[in-house]
This record gives sequence, C-alpha cells and structure tokens, in this order.
Amino acid sequence: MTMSKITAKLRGNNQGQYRLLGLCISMSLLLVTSFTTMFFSPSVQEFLPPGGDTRKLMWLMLSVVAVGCLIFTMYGSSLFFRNKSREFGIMLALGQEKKALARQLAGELTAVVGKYVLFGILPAIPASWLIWKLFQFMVVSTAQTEYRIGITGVLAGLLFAAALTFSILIAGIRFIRQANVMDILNACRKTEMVREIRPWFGKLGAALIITGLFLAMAIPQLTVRLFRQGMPGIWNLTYFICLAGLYLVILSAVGHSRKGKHPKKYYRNIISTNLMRFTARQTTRNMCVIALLVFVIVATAFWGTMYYFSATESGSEAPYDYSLHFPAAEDQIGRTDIEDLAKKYGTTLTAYENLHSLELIIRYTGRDMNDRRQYFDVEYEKLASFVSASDFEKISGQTVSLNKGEYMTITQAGFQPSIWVDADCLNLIRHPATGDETAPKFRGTVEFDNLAVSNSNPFAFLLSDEDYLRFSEGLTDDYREKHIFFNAAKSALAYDFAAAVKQAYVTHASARSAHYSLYDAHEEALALAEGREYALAGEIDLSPEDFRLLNDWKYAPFSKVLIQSDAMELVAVFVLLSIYISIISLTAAGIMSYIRSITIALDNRQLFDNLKKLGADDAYEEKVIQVQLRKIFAYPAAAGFMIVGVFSLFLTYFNDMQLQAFEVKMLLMEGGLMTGIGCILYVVYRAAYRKTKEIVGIG
Amino acid sequence: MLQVKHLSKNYSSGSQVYPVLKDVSLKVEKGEFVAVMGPSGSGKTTLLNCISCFIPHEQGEILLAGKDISHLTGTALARVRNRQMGFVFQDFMLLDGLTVFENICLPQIIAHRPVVQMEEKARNICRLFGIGKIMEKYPAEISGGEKQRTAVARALMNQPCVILADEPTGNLDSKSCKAVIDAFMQAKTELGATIFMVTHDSFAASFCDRVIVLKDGAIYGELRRQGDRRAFMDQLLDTIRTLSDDGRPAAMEPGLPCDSGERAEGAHGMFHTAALPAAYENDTRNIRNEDTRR
Repeated sequence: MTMSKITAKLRGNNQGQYRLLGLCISMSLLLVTSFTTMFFSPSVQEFLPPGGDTRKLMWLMLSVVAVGCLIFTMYGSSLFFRNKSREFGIMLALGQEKKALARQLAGELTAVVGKYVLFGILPAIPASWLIWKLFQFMVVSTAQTEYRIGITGVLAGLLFAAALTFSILIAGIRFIRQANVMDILNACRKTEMVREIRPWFGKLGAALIITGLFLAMAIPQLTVRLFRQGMPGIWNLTYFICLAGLYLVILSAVGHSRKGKHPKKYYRNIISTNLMRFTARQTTRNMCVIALLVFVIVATAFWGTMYYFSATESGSEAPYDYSLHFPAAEDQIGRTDIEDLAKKYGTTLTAYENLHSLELIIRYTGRDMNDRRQYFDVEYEKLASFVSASDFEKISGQTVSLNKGEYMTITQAGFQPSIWVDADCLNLIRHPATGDETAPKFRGTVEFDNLAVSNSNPFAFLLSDEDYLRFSEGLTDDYREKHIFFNAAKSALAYDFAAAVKQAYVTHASARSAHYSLYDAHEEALALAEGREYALAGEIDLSPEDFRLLNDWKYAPFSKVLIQSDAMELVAVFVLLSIYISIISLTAAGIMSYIRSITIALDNRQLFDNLKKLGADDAYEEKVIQVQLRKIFAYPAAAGFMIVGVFSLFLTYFNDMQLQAFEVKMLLMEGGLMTGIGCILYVVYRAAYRKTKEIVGIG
Repeated sequence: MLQVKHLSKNYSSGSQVYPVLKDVSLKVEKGEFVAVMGPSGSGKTTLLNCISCFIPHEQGEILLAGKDISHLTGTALARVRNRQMGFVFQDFMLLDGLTVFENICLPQIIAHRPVVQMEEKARNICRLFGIGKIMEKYPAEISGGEKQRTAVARALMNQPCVILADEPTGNLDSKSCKAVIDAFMQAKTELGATIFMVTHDSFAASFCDRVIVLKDGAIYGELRRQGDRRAFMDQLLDTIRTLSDDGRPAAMEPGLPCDSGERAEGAHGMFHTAALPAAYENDTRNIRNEDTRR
C-alpha cells in the first residue's frame, strides 16, 4: 500500500467531483471554441465590415460568453476544491507535507484539465460544423455561407483553454497555500453570507442598470448630436455601472427577505431563502453570469432579426415595385423587353415611367472624425444625380416648387439626418464639361425611395427645370443616367418575373456599368490627377446568380419582390452568426442553471434530512426545492430580460432619436423571443427539479 | 511530555480584538490522560488547535518532548504531526473513500514506512481496539463508535508522544462513548499513550487522571483523580454542583494558579483554582451531566 495507490483509490472514489469539474471545463471550451471557430471562420470574417457595429457587438458577445464560461468553470473548480479540502485537511493533520500535497494536486489537475480540455476542444469543430449545416439546411444555403474553418478560431479556443487552465491552477495554488489546517478542514462547511443586504439594494441596482445603459448608450449619441464630440473608448466602462446594478439586483433577490406586509409568504419561503442566503456570494456571481448569458441570447437573436427586417424593409415604401437606373449610353432593356417578360410570366405592367437624370459635380459638406473622436466638417467633391422638378412631379405625383438656384434633396421615407451628412449639405454644383458653377439654396427634402436607393451619394437632388436645362446643355451621355420605374400586377410568378428582369438587365449591362456601388468617376479622376490610388476602381463581376450584386453594384436593380425573397441570402452570415451565438449562450445558461440546481441539492442533502426529522413531508420539501430552483432560473432570466429590453430600446431609439414602425415591431418581437427563451429555460427547470428531487430522496 | 507556557491567543474582527487564551500554562506528563473542560467559548478547542499548531498564537511556547514546536517550518511541523502527534476529531475525519484498514495505515503511508510492518502493525491495533472484523469496511458502513475507534487506532499508528483529541465523544451515543473511552484507556495502559482530550462530557472526563477547567480563556482550576472512577465522577459532579450552589467548590482554594503546586484536598481528588468568580454557577450549565451513564 503506497501513497500513490491511496490517492488513486481516493480519486476513483471521488469520480463525481472530477467529472463535475471536467464537465465545466469541457462545456466551457466546447461553447467558446465552437463560437471562436465560427466567428473567426473566413466566411464570417470576410463578411463582417471592419470596425462595423456588428463586429463590435460580436466581440462584446464573445467576451461575455468567454467571461461567463470562465466564471462558470471557476465555480466548478471551487466546488472541486471545497470537496478536496476535507481530504487534504486530514492528510495535513496526519503529517503530510504541503509540498507533497501540492505535487499531488498539480498532477491531478493537470490530468483532469488536460483530458477534459481535449474533450471540449475536439468536438467543438464538428459541433460548429453541425450547427452551421443545420442552419444552411433549414434557412439558407449560399456560396457565401459555405462552412470554412480558420486556424484563428481554433487558436482562440486554445488560448481560452490556456486561460482556463491557468485560472484553475492559480485557484489550486491559492487552495494549497491556505494558511492552516483548520481553514481547510472548515472550508467544506464554510458559508459565505454577505454581511449586510439592505432593503434598498434591489432598487438601487435597478436604477444603476438603467443609468449605466443610459450613460453607455445614450450619452455618446447625444454628445455627437449636440456637440459633435464622440466619447472616448474608456466611456464604455460605464457598462460596468450596469453590471454593478445587476449584481445588486441579484444579491438583493438572493439574500434579502423580510416579513414586511406578507409574513405568511416570508415564513413559507424561509428555508429556500436561507438556503440561498448562506451561499449568497457564489450564488449571486453565478446568477449574474446566467443573466448576462440571457442578455446575450436575446440580444443576438434580436440583432439577427433586426438584420433580416432591415433587409426586407429596405425600400418597402418605394412607390414603384421595380426600378432600374443605368448610364444613358448603355444599351439596356426597355419597355418592350419588360412587357415581353411580363407576358411570359403571366403578368402585366400596371405602371411604367422613364426618367433622365444628370450626373453633375457637386461640392458638399460632410463630416469626418479625428483621432480625438471630434467630428469636423469636410467639403467633398464628387458626382451626384440631379432630376428636374417637372420630371419628378411626373413620376412621383408630388408637387414641388423650385425656383432658379434652388434645390431639394431626395430622401428615403422616414429619413433622419445622420452625423455624417445633412440634407442641406450642397454647397456648389458644377457642370462637368463647361465648368459652369452655381451655389444653390436648400428648399427642403422630398421622399422618393426609388431614387434614394439609386446609389447617388450622398443624395440625389432636384433642380428647377430652368437650372436642369442649363446644366444639361453640352453634357455628354457619360454624365447622364436613365431610370425606369414600373409596377406589375400581382402574380403567382412575381418572383420569377423579377428574377427574369434582373437576368435580362444584368445580361445587357456592359463594362460601362460594371462599377462598385460607391464608385464615382470624378473622384477617380481627382485621385489619379493627384497620383493617389482609387480604392473603388476596377470592374465588378456581373454574374446574375451572384446575389451580392444587389448590394455591391452601382447600378443594381431594385425589386421589392427580390429584396423580400432574397433578404435572408443578403444577411445570411449575420443571421447565422446571431442565431449561433444565441444557441451557444442558451446552452451555457441552461447547463449552468442545471448544475447550480444540482449542487444546491447535493450541498443541502443534510438539510433536507433534518427537515424530515422535523416532520416535513415530501410536499413541503418539494415546495422548498421548487421555490429555490425557480429563483435560480427566474431571477437571472428576469434580470437578463430587463437589461436586454432597455438595451434594445436605447439602441433603436438613440441610433436616430426616433422609433420607426418596424423598430417597434421588432421590439415587440423581442418580447416574443423572451417568451420563447423563457419556455426553453422552463424545460431545463423541470429537468433540474426532477433531478434535485431524486438527489434529496423525494418521491 | 507536553508543556504549554504562557500561551496567549487573540481573534480579531475588524479593529476589535478578542482575547481567547490568556496566559495559559499547563503540563502533561508521559502516560497521563488529561481532559480539558469548560463552558462553551472558554477556549478549549482553541487551546487544542494551538497545541496542534493548526492555528498560530501570539505568545507563549508549546513544548513537545522538550522541544518548542510553535515556530517550526512547514516541513518540520508536518514531521512532528506525523510522528509525534496523533489526532482524534469530533467528527472522526476519516477518508470516506478508504477502508478502515487503509485509514489506519495512512500515518505510516505518509511516513513511507515499510509496507509489511505497517500492515502488521495496523492489524494488531485493529485487534486491540476490537475493530478487526470491520477492517475492510468503509466509514459509511460502520457505526459512530467504530469510526472513532478507527480514528484512535489511526492516531496511535506512529506511536506519537501525545494524542490530541477534540470532543472525541461529542457525536456518539453512550455505548459508543464508552467504547471510545475504553480505546483511550487501552492506549494508555497497553501502549503507554499520553492523551490530551478536550471534552464537555463529564463521564468521559471521569476516566482521566486530571481534569483542567478552562474559563474565559484562562485556566480556572484543576481536578485530579486519586481513587475510584465513579467516585471521581461523583466528586467532579459534586464539585460542579457545589460551584453551582454557592459559586465556590468546597474542595478547593481560590486564587491559586494551576502550576503553583498548591492543591486543595477533596474527598477523592483535588481541585485547583486560579480564580473563582461568583458567577461561575452560570458557566457550569454547559458541563454536561452524564451521571445517567454510570
């Protein structure tokens, strides 16, 4: 009989502790690595715009999931060390050296962590593949959504594994360094009640959550709008006020109870309240993590939905269902071609209009931001589309009144000016050939989505007929565009008709039209004259099958039917990423809540035995468990829902200082999402309830 | 064998300092069975934990076999605990994953003793304490008395200078309690063990050669057994009862420190007292009356 045999036997006997720690490690790694594998996959990285909001949000979500999983694993390791403390305490009392125990612990931790790290990382790749494929199968499968694995994702997973291992080893060192035997022997009985939980903690917490979110989300937008000054990156620390609020809310829910006006309820729940109170710190930490995961679940699902809706809603207010615009010199399809196609697909044109526009050089005031996040005015020079007032009246049915030297800005319905440019931005219009210039006066905006989506940047404009004629003289076709607007009668083959129009339109497009969406010939000429490289130069591949054409092509056709049908293809990667993160976070939240419930049952078996001895029947103990588990599941869910609700409201409102109809619709849908997630958590709660009853020997 | 000199220990909470042991001095001779009694909060367990070096103390010396063990390094302290001390805890502190036999072997396994001799010795000790039949059982499968006898056996495996027992009968019924005390007595008589036991149990204490009474962190007095155990217990209970009645036991003199050598004769023993406050009767409530076991 040797010490190694004894420790091996003890290890075998305490398999449960090792498995629990292993499960925490594996689950955390599986979740985080499958997240990083997905997030850093070339498919996603190529799609996410650098520095964009989505990328930032995904980083935030990744951080929350990683920190949550780390805290969860540290919780698992604390349970492991707490159970281990008795064994080590006895060994120390019997004269074993700390060094020997440290070596033994290091060996055991290395073995268990190493084994379960592999169990976590290896299935992460097939798991991410499986979820991705499932998504492709159920939602959309495009060339863009092909599963591609990148080494960065796996490396990030390994980095997380290293951080996890390091944290567990540090916890192990701290455990072994505990000053004396008594502390170790008593560690398994130690309670961690937070000394004072004041009645106002909960209210203060809720106020801090709202304040934190307001400071973090509203203030930067307000300072930009009011003072043209962005807040520094450090301002994001104000999110921690929200976190502090969350901690107080959960702490208050966990530990605060008083008779108040409902003494009956107080006494009914006295056991479950006290069960939680005596592990308040750990319980609160865990619940905060779960609440944050609930936040991530809803926020990402909401984000994905918002993408989808934004895509489908784009141009939904346009008066014409179809519009085409192309260089005047292009030999494009015309009315006869479109009518032939309509006939072929069993429909007829109910409206058809032609329009000509001029491409004139403009100087306009936009805004840029410096390194100190100060927004400053910049005058840009480029081409923009101009339409005559009478032509516009003809196609739009709107009456506009413009005098010589005046202009109006064409916007989308519900337009709100952004920080980057105002509607009255125009300083000067110049004839590209003659150099004739005018500094027009702003006379307001008109809404007309078909022209607003025509890639005339920053806007398309209206001129009085007199000015329009003046500028059109001497202008070659290189500086003119043609526009076609039409509607077709409703038909079962509407999508096929739209696709056929698109096919015919793209087929007719020559190299003259093959430009990226923000390409500007004048900007290119200026860049070349200054010896600069023009970033948007080059020809775009005009392949009708490539759905990205709708986004990337300067002369992309507009079709409500195609946009609404192909919206998912356009935003597939965003939606896939959002749903994926949502699933991962939901899994993590479910597992954490389940394990927390189980450990409460395991830790308090003695208490339930004692309750039996005091005469409690099964029904009473069931009630105690129910109340306890409901708190574990309900408090974090409620807190997470509250935070994400306020977050989404602030996000949508402060983005443009208004709530549009579709944003209200999305917020309502978010409520639906919360209900769905609540139902899933309820299923996990039922499973945890059954298992907990089994552990404490009820039923 | 064991000597404590001017031991002081404080606990602190924030800026508040609470003295728990105040200048405690005592001596336990080789082969002696000594109990420490006292009301809750008197510092009994703290005294034991300081002697065991489980917790640090502020002042004083702890001498085991003539050597001060209070300032030893971790390795040296571990060696002392393994070879010169044996521990018996109230809640047994057996490893649930090991059999009774393996638990008993642990001190020798830690000391890297040869396996054959170790197993032989463990079997002998098991026989001595009447736990031979349960050697292959696990702690969960045996009674509280058997667990504690296993713990006593384990404590004796390395023939320590002293066995330090913290409320060894605290979790046991009267039958098991007697069995454990018998085990201690066997250890004392057959193996010459020195035992220092903290207890609330006057029945268990009545088997000791001496009972040191601790109150408010200081040694209050000492009762020495000189005759029959039952008579000693009667004398112990009488003394306590007398204390309860008039605040001063008849058989002792006030104001004498325990190590002063001056003793008050009683019927069958002597009670030494360091100080006798009139309120002592309040504190005797916590010394359990176990006369029903006699």
